[in-house]
Amino acid sequence: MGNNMQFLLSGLSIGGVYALVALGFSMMWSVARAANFTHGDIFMLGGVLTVAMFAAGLPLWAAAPLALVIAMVAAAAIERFLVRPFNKEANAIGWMLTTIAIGVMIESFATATYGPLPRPLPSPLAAEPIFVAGAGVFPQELLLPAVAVLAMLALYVFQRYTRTGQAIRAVATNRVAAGLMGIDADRITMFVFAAAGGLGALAGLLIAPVIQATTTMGLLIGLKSFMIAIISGITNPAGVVAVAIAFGVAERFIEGYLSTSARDAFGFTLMILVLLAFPQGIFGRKEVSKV
Amino acid sequence: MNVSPRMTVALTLILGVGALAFLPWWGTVFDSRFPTSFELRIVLRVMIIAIVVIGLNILVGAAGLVSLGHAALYGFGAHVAALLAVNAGLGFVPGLIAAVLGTAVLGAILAYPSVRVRGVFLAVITIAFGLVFVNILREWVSFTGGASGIPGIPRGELFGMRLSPAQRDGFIYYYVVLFFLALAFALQYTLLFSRYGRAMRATSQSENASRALGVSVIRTRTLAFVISAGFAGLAGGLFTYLSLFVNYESFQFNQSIQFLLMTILGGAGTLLGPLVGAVTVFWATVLLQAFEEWQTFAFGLMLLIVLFAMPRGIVGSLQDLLARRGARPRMRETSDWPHWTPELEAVIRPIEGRPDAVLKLEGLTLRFGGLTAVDNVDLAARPGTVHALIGPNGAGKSSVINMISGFYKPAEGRILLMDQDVAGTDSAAMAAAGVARTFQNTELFGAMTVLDNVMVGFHSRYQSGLLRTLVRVPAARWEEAKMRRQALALLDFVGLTDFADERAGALPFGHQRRLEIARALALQPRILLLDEPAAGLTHGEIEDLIRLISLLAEKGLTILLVEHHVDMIMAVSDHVTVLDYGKVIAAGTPRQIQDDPRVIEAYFGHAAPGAEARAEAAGGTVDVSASAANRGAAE
Amino acid sequence: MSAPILQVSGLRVAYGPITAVDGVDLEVGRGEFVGIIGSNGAGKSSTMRAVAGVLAPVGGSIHFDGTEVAGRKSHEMVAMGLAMVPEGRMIFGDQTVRENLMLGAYTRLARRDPDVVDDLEEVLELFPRLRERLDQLGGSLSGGEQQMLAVARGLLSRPKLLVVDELSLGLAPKILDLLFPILAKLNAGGLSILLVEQMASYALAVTQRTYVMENGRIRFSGPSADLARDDRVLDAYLGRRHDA
Repeated sequence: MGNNMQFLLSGLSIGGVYALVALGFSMMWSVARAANFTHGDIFMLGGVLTVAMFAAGLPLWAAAPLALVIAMVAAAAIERFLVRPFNKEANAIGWMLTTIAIGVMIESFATATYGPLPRPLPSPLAAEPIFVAGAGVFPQELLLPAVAVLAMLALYVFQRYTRTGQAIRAVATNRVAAGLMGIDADRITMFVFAAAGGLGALAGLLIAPVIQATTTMGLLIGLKSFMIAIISGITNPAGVVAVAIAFGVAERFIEGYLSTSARDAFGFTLMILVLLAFPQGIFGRKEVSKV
Repeated sequence: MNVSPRMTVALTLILGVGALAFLPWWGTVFDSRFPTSFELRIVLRVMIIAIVVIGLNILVGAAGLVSLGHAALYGFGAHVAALLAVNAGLGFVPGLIAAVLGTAVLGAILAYPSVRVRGVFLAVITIAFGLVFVNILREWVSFTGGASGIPGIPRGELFGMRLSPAQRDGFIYYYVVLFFLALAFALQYTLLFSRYGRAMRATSQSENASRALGVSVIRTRTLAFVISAGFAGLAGGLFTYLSLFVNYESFQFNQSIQFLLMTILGGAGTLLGPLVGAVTVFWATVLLQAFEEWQTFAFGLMLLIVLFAMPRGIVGSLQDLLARRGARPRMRETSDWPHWTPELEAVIRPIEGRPDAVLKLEGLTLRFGGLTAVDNVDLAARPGTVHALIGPNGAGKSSVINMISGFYKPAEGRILLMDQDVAGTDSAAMAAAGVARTFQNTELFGAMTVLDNVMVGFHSRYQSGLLRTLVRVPAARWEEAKMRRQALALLDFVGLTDFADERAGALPFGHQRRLEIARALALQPRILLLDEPAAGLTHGEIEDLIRLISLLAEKGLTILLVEHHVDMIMAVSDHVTVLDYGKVIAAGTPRQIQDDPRVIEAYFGHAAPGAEARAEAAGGTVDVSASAANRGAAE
Repeated sequence: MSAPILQVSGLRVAYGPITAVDGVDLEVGRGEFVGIIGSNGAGKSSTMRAVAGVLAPVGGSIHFDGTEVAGRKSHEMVAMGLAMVPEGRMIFGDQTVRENLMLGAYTRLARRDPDVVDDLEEVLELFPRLRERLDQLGGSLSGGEQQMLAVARGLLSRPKLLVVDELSLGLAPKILDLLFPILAKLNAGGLSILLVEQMASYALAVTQRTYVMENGRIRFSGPSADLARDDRVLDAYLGRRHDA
């Protein structure tokens, strides 16, 4: 019983990370039908930059926002210089490879400068565990799913009730028509990539006190999140967040009852099976292909 | 100057294999220390890697798909061979076969679900697979040995010979690997220049056109991945018997990126690219070793630079350069068309038997959301006739074509092709069953040659399967030659013989339309659906087109024509069905239709000839609204 | 006589190697209602898309309101006062009618133009049907209603020139009889309009001048009333029968 509670709680935490990163993929994909393939590295930057700047003497309240800003600028630059010029061709090879290349560079640059070892980040919310039904958990961990759901709701409100949000929806539906409304679709796209980068980096700095930040933590989380986004129907933010959190919980249970390697093997097989059953994703709508 | 692919292959095989075969004996012959056994081992490693890259080249260069898990597939093959050798005592040949087949099956499992949706999903699946694979190898210590791997793999034996690369064994394993590399290289050629290679390139350029020509996109992409995985598995097995030790370290994500870099840098889609890429990148790895922890960074940077500066790779860029320098400024001329030759009797055949209708639509209905785009349409196209489907823009004509050709699934109703209900059959199967179509906005395979475009149309008519095609049995070669002759005859028919080796995308618009018709005819269709074939053509071209359509009908082909051009409809059609708002509002001979007031109103509007509105407009004021209001009240 | 609002000369548009528009000259005077007719694939829509900045021309010049604008993006053109009602309407189906209309006023909302509310009211007077459907999703409207929304949306940017591409596409004559007079009325109120239309009869009835396009070029042009009696137009675009 206590074990199960423990699995549930830590599953919610990792699920929250998946949700925030996958939400970014969903946002990018919706406006551009492309994404920063190595969005996981932006997530990593959120954690690693905060730790590095904190270690360099910056107070936490300054280091964290600064890390977010840097990550967002990086995400915007990736859109402008690596995705946009390659997003005109029919197949996705171009932007996929350029963003993979930059991802590899970011990760290896980080490893060379920050070091290959995990480094801790203190947080008042990760000092004392609280106990829920016999299971210990840091408040920091529970923060993640909460932030993910909040981010999703905020995104909904933003897209629904602000002018820019409405413009984002317009660009997602039809870029040409959006342009004819006077919307600069390119700028909107860059803005969305930056915002997605912000969410990813936020997840990185929130999870850092729990798992310690390493430069390699982005790759696997980024890819899993992309797959989660795909199997849940990538253009449906609520679906993406729900599936991501559920997936995180399921992973922890498999890990708890079987093993770590079983976790990934099962999770991966599960995703392939879901894709077989729902080619458009669980909550996805079929894209009507015009002939 | 133009080097034919066939010559490239022959030259490479003779010179390359000759040079590589001589290499181990260099030291003996010239009495030098080169190559040391260490250097030979490096050459061996590069040859094995080149086999993986050749496989990846088929996937990336032809099918336009990306795999970022090829290192894991390579590793999978290596582990299959290793585990079978250690645990089951399997020998070299069965071990190698198991490695190839096992990896190919795994490839099918990975590819089939993901290529159904989008190419990019395959990339995600392959990366994830690669990471999970390495995780499992590392964690499942009891089975794979974890970090200490699987040591003590017995050396392979073949006909009693020890498969070792050492001089005292006559470098025998070196020659085994060289044999497989040459084989892989030759197979790459036979595949890329077969109907399968053409189908792969076609699917990467236009999914719609591929389906319309009977090429199943999912099957073709899965096949490309399976073949590619098979090559990786082969290389993996060879690796196992070279190093006699495997663990996860050689098969990580970075290695997958290196494979991809080799493919792109060498020149994706070119024959020699994989060899050039493998050598260049491997050599770079050795140089970059000095950078230590910055090595991966340098790889990322290299990939980025190649993508921006040389997207066609080394071989591709050289080919472009050669082509540009060698391009003779030659005027290509269109010959007269339509040009009927006896050769075409084999391609365009009248329907066997005499059914009263080749195609019959009964109560065909299509809905988009709440909107009824096609509403209860009946139509019967009699054999050897031209049946026109007309109506104002948005009346549902193209939707009808899209349902007949299997692109849309009708909500209700039957589509009878030769009296068989085929409603809801998918488009590739419809094409194979004899429904050919053209597209309103021509959909050619722009980067393929004019001849290859037509050849794709023959895809579903080949008898030779994959194996026979790859080893080029005489029957398969004969078949390919026959199809080629027929394709040339079709090009001659539409007057494009002179353009056969031109890139289709570079043709002027009118020629593109003709090519699309020739390509559709390659299906040897029972019925040909032409979707606004005259749009964008010049007056003269339209007259030629009219003659072509009449000629085809005369030869027994049944044609369903969607067209706006009134003169053309009157000139060629035997029967006309008029759609408006998705409904049939009139049907009959062109003459009957012409006088039907409902048609005139639907087509030309109220303000058609004689309408009073125009005279009023002359004064600068407009009052069609008054007559509209009257009409509205009357209805 | 002031300078024309739109002056296009030597315009060339190509898709890869395929030339769609091959040296088009045309102009629209201030307050004028000009039409372009021609068959499918004649290059009408490509001309419009180049003028509206949806695609960049490969040659020629486009003067709009006294400025050279060839190659500018569509969002810049909207801000300058050119609105296009695109072919196929391009309604944002997952947004309500009200939201669609507000998107039409996007650039004005950005500069906090206080007249937007009044203009919305005015547009709804013009299309009462839209008022009834303000909170419905754009995708749930009928084709005719969508076209009304597309025109209304274009008007809300308060354009100096309204470019309308294929107003009649997929619409029944009954609805066209409603829509074309509204364009005429807007023009009578001083709005310059450039209309591309396949239904030549309607276009000739409402416009003052018409260009006839074929194969990417202007074949001839003239006052619409004259062209409506011109044999070439009668035969090719108005369905006159030879044997009548």
